[in-house]
Amino acid sequence: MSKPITKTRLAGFRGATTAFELDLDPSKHMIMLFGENGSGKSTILDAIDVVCNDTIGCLQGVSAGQNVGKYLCNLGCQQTALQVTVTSNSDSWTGTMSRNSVNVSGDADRPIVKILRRSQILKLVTAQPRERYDELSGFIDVSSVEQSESNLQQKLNGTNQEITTLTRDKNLMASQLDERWVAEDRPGPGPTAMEWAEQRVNTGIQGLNDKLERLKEVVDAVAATTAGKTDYEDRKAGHSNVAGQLADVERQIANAPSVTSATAVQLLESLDKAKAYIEAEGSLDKCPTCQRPMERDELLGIVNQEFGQLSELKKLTDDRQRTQGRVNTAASHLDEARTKLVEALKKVQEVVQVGDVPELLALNIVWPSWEQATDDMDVLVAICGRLEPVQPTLERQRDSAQRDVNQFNSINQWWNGIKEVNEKIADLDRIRDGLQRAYDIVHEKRVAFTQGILDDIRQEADRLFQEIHPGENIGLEQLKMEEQRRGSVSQTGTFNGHNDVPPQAVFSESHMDTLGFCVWLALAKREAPDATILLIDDIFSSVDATHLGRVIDLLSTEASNFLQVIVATHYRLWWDRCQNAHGIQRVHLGRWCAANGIAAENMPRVLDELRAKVADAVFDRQGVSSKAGILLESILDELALLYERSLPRNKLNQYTLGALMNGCSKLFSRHNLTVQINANWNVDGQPEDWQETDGTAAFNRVDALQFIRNQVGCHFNPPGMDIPDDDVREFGAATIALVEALTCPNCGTLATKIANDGTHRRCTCAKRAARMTPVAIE
Amino acid sequence: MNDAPGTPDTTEATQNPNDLLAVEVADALVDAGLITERHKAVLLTKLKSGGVRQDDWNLWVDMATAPEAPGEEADDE
Repeated sequence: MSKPITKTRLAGFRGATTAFELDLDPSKHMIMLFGENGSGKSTILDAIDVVCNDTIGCLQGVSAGQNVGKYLCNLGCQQTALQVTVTSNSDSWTGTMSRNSVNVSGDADRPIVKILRRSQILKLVTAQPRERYDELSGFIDVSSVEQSESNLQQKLNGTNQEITTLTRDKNLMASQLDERWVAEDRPGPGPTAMEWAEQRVNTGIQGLNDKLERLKEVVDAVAATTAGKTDYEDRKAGHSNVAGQLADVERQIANAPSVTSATAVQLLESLDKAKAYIEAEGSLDKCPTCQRPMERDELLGIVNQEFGQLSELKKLTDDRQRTQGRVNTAASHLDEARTKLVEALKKVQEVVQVGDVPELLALNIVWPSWEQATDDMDVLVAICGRLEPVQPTLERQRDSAQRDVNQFNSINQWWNGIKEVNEKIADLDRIRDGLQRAYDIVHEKRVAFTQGILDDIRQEADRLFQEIHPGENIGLEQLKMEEQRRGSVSQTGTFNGHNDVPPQAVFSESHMDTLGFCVWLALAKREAPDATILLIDDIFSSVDATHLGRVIDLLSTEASNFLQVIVATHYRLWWDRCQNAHGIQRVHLGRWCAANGIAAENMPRVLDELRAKVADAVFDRQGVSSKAGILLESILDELALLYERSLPRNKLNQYTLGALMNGCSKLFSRHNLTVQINANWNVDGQPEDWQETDGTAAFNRVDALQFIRNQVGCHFNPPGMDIPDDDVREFGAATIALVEALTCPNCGTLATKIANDGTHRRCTCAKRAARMTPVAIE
Repeated sequence: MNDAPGTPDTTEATQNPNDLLAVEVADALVDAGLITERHKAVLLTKLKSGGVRQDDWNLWVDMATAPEAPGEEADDE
């Protein structure tokens, strides 16, 4: 729940060298801080900005080394002495400084505060498109949707890529299929390879597989007989070879000494042990066996001689044993080869008996009885010899069947592959179309949405700009998101008939200032304005008096949209023009000095001051006359300007009350200046009840007494002294009556704005409780 | 401007532009039949917060545009 600020208190902050407190009237829609340069206006606004927005105020972006925030503290003051409090009714927030930054305490949500300084105007209107986007991004930032859109686009691109890849794969398969179809001379049933392939696939592979398996069985059987025959012949030759070797060994043994090999072995073992024994003994003098006297070396010589003779025989007997073993093994292998060959031939016989292999049937083989088949291996070998020439033919048939199967598999793979890819592509096409449509929608919505916001901002900013620069043929033509550059907003303006010029290139400095102000105001109006407090920090330094007058009118009107507007200005024109305004709290800031800090005083409305003085029991003749004169001069000056009344020319454009009265008198006497007040302006929901005031009577009443201003209010002279208090009081009351007859009871200003229908002028406040005719005088 | 203290507060939690656009986009996609009503809520959440991923788009568009299988009841969730 946002409420207007009711008080701000500063201590040790910027120019507040002593504690400074300012009460803000929440019933006033605008607070005007008026003072000369350096009086502390910006310090007050900075304090509110620092507390409400967690900023470093006008130091933001200032190049002053690191920890620039420390300069928020009053120079020469301890940081701990800084204390800034912003109060809104019962809630308050306090900023204190530690380690060069301000920390804010306070439980409630802080007021929504937007501040406009001249530096921000530059960012809005003269900066690069990207910086302008940054300033506007709070209103047009749709980054999450934008990211989703980007993901959608990537998915769309990915899907397109996937379709392209699948189409390439499909074309490759179709080309291979077509090639095979052409190679087969484009068989039916239809005009395309796909129809042929479909028929082939539907025929099935079982028949081809059966044929292949059968041929493999036949070829394997025949090949087994060929291998078996070769194996048998090799084994047979091997057996014959080792049998010959055994016979040779037997012959050598027969020619050896007549000692049986068994005896020889035992004897060799005994000699071996005896030799070891003798070698181990250091000396001997007799044979350990026969006890015959004999030297050790002699005995060792006899044993060695005997050992050599028996070793030769031992070698031969070992050879015979080994060769016998090889003969036995060869015989065993030969038996196996016979058996295998028989089994292979039996298998061929089974294959032949099926009767589906004409090449084998044509051999008319007479098969032997298998029980004694191995008795006559030559018969079996002969059968193998007859089978052998048929084997290559059968192998070719098998290979051909294998090719048929492979071809079928290829066709099947291509046909099914193409079919599957077609289905996938159809599916992806559907999704791609959906994604494309979704992307178009998201993209168009986003562009239209952000552009719509920019258009609204542009339209409102230009409307405000035209209020300040009516009929000047200048304006804001377009704010546009730059499609090519993410996060950039370009702007074009209207200038002297050209509709596409960059304002920053052709507008004057004051035009840029007012444009920036209007864009900022248009932006502020978009975001919960009735909960927003605006701070405007003396931004119209380049604007001339005429345009400033329009800015004042505009701001008076627009202020009603916001929760509170706090304006700092050094323009006396603005200050004076608001001296009778109801809805404005006027705060006059005096001269700043280090010893006293900021000095401020609330200034009442001049009309209220006059009322008080007129009613005062201790009558201030001079004060009433003077105040009434000032009030009359200010309102008649505005009327004279509005209706372009003739006044005596003087160098300084300073007009006396008399001249102004004369200049304006015909407005009432000849041109029937009429003011109407809506009697129901302060009662919500009631119909308008326009009642005419008697401005002419009020003017004439003042006219009769206006001399009092000079004689009592300005001079010390006898005629003035003769004027009774009652006349002076009547002059004051008549002045009050005239001001009340001419101004809006709500805002206290003249109805200066020409209504849209051009029939009258109206005041600029939200109530629009006053209207005045004529609009102009011919 | 509220002219007097105590005027009822009119501040509401204002939706940011992204959220407003998200609602527009979600409505348009559902109206176009590219997102099912069932997925609208999650689409909206993702549009508002973290962004919709590529797989999300693919799945949702696929489901919304898939031809109804023969005999299959319309999704009435």
